[in-house]
Amino acid sequence: VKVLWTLVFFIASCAPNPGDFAQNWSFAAWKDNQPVGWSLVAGEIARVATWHPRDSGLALVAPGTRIEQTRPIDVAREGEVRCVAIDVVADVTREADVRVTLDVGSDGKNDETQVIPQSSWAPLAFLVRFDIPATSLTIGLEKRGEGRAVIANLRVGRCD
Amino acid sequence: VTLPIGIYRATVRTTDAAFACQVAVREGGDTPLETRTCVRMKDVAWSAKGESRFRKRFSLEVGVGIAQMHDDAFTRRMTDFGYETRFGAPVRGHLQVSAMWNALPYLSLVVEGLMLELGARERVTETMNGAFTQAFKWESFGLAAGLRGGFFMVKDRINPYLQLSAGPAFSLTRFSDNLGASPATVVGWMIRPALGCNFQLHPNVGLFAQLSWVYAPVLRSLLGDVHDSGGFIGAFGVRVSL
Repeated sequence: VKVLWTLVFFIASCAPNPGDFAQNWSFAAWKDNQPVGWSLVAGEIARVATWHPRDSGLALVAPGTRIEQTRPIDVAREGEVRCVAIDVVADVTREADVRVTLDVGSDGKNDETQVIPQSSWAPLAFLVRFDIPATSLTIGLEKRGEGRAVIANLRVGRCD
Repeated sequence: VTLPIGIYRATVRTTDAAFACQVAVREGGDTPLETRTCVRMKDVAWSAKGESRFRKRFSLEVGVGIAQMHDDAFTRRMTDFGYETRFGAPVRGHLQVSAMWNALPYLSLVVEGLMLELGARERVTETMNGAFTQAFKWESFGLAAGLRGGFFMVKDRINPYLQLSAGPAFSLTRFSDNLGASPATVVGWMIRPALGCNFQLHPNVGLFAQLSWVYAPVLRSLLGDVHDSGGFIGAFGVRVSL
């Protein structure tokens, strides 16, 4: 059996990984009660279990909670980014009013806001196109209302 | 047995040997058949009167085969969460061991152990500290008891049958990430209807082929999704009878 598993993971390690602009998009890694790579701007968050006790999600606890992450884009190395695909898996009630925000260029102004509709762990996808190439992306998650809001995945990847 | 006067040749079969005897039946009395004076027959296929050479009291089967891989709510949810399997094959290997007590001529009691499934999913998340890898592996087994009913053809050499068995099923699971591993044992149940056929090459040795379907809802996620470690199984193997 051990030989079989070794073979499984050897094969797995040969496969390429898709690029993600959001680091720690699955909220798997935590340090000091905060997901690694994400900054708590306001409010309160918590680490909660999702499908398995060891698979954690991010709970946006209080209304007004916001976390964000800034990702510089090296245009010379990564090429121009004019479109991103946002994939979300979340357990969100309608009252929670959860939004994904994108600040293209990280100038402190949200250029794009997508409302996450009521969902019970269903995969949701959005496409966002920019007029000018992004040199930096600030990805934000905020909860404005009462209600449950647990985010399992927030992937932001290239779509062009 | 009442016989006319004469000299007869008789074959006496016991449970473990056969003897060639000569008997002189005389008038007016009993003539005992004494096997002490008989000649043991060599290399003769034998069986006691009323018993078949190919029907034994106990049988043991060891089989291998292929089993169906299938997606269900549990595995689809893992995919949604980013856990991927690199094995795209629609089938997997299978191993089974069965013991039969042939209690009645056409009915057997069966106890069997099955290796149901080896599954694995993995998710890699890039972080500022490097890759954070999470893996979920499971190994499912079944232990079932049931009844097998069949009939015999071609001088008892071929034995088609139907079988129904059920019992506990187990999954040994292991969730691991960069910080460590959490093994767990999950107990569920399984049911397995099967049809098959035995082909006796020798009174004690035969081959078998079997097609079965297993339902084994063993794994359950915190979100209520259930994974069936069963599916269709095609197996073949060796059967030893005593």
